[in-house]
Amino acid sequence: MNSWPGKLLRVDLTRGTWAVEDIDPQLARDYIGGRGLGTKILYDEVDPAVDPLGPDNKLILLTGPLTATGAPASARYMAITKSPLTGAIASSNSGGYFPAELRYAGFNGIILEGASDKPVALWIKDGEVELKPADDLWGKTSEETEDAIRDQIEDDWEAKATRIACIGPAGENMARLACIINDTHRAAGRSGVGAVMGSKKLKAIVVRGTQGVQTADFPEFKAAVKTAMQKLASGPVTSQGLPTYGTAILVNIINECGILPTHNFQKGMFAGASKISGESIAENIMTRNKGCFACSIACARMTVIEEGKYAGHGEGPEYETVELMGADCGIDDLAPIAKANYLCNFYGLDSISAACTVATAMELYEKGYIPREDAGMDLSFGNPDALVGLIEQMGKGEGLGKIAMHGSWFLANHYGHTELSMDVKKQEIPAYDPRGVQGMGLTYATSNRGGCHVRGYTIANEVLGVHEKLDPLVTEGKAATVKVFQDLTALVDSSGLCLFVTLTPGFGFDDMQAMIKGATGFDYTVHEVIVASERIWNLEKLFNMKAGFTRADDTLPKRLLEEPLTEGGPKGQVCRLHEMLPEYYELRGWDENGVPKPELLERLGLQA
Amino acid sequence: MEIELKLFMMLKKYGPPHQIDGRSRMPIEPGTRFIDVLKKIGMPVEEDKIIVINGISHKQGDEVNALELKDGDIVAIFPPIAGG
Repeated sequence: MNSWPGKLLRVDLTRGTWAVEDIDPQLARDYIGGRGLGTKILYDEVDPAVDPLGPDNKLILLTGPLTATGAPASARYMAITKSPLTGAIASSNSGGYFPAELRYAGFNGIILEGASDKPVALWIKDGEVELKPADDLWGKTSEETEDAIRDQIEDDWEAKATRIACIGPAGENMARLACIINDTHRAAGRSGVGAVMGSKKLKAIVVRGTQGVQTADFPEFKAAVKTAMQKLASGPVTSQGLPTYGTAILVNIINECGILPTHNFQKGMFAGASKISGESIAENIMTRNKGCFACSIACARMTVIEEGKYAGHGEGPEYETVELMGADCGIDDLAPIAKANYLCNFYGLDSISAACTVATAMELYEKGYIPREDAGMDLSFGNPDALVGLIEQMGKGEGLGKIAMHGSWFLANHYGHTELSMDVKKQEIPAYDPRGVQGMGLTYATSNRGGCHVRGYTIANEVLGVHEKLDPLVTEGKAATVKVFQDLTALVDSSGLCLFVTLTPGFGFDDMQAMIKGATGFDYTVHEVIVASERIWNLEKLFNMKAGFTRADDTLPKRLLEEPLTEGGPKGQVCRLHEMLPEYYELRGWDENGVPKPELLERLGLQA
Repeated sequence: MEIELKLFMMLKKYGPPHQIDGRSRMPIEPGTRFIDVLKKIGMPVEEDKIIVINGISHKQGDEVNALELKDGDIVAIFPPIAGG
């Protein structure tokens, strides 16, 4: 049986060798696992100034102490590396069944070093490791790759039970928007982690395990899980809203609040919102919902477009994707959106960033900055063929896609208009306009991995009132809210749980502490896990500082700071980041330039 | 005077019969408060909900309940939801 902290597999792709290592129990205790422990390993082993796509960068895949334990929504792993998109730390999260299978196979994580000359696949079966040539897989989509790998496995049952994480053509082409896909439809999506895997010529990781996972103190763990499960089962979001309508349930309410990014964030309301909503997905294209490992929420949508030029099937789209491919590109038809989302998963592109990049391309085109001959198609807002067509080009690295596959900033910079890229630290901003929800502006600006909603999802309180209802238009108190959300998220991401457990009223640090303590046997107090979460956030920050990031990077696109929204509840508003950022730095224990003070580093055990 | 009432998902059951998209116009008297609308449509005041009036989301409770509505106000009510 596998237990925590357990073992890491270290693979040297340059030499084609590997070694098994014990995870240092003290590091495991101080950094929890997943995102935290991966950050610590990256910080200790990789120079933050390294070329992200060079052999000296490392790609660290880590589960957490709760992954595969049977704790609610314990399906997750993190991919940690230096991002080729932002140049900052990347830590991308994914669920499905691959992460649990990795623990069942005896490993709690994999460190990938160096780079292979030729395409290879890493095969792991119950502690046995093999690097196999993968020339025949190179060029295949995620779905084709999974099929081809399963065809190589003789026993049908074993083939079905095997779990696979891979890159698609986008990762092979080192597109800065490339993700790592596992279980065909789940993605460690953001920050270009798939491009790093591609730079190492690692096409796929194939895992089969039968060992099971043991918790340190099962009675204590079981009691903590029972408490958490009861909260999830009684929480209206996790018991009804997400299972029935998925994440796209948000489209209508975000539109009603006037913060639904539309036409590349030129507006905050979209006339076609209800056509692309979670209700519309459930009524029109959904065949069933689907859960990741050990998840009672089952927010994923299996969908199908039966006929026509957008015919296809797969999983999703999720809220961020349907909003950004929909309203932000001016498209109110689910068929092309679903198709573009399937293509992102098949080619291995981050659907959030890819969608934002299409929206940026559309505005560049409409303003005449992308010449028609470069575009090769009518890139006007609202043209569904442009969405599907450009995503296809990005996936294949063809035409305008050759530039666009590196993201909105890279594309806008190519045409000399970076002001039209809606990014933070060159990573595209997701589907909430921070002019009408001030705390999200601070979340975006201070996220250690650039534009991102899941580093501090204050929408939960500012709009949805999950834990307490806050006024979205005020800046007062938001610095404290953002900090608490960021820290709790760092803990959840490090534990192996899905962030959606935090959408349960009353779910907090104490629930996390109780489950992690039972699973690990470390006698954590609630205070200790809160300190650990701060330690993780600050170590990410230190990595970024060494990579060259400064206060000037903690900002938002000029449009969101200076151009007021023109309709709805937040009409006339801009994001007043300057009212929140100094207070945030102070609450973090950072100086006015956003640099952690020596006394903070000492308290967290991070002094040089 | 009338307001536009938007009810979402399972809350559509509180709307007038035969409406399918949850949208309706409701005549109101001067001085009508938000709580009066809830009573008129039969939605329990204490039931968890998300309230958005004229594009501004409100905290459930006495303050919004006492809010006086004006002609043309848009009142949207959602069940508790989240995602992202």
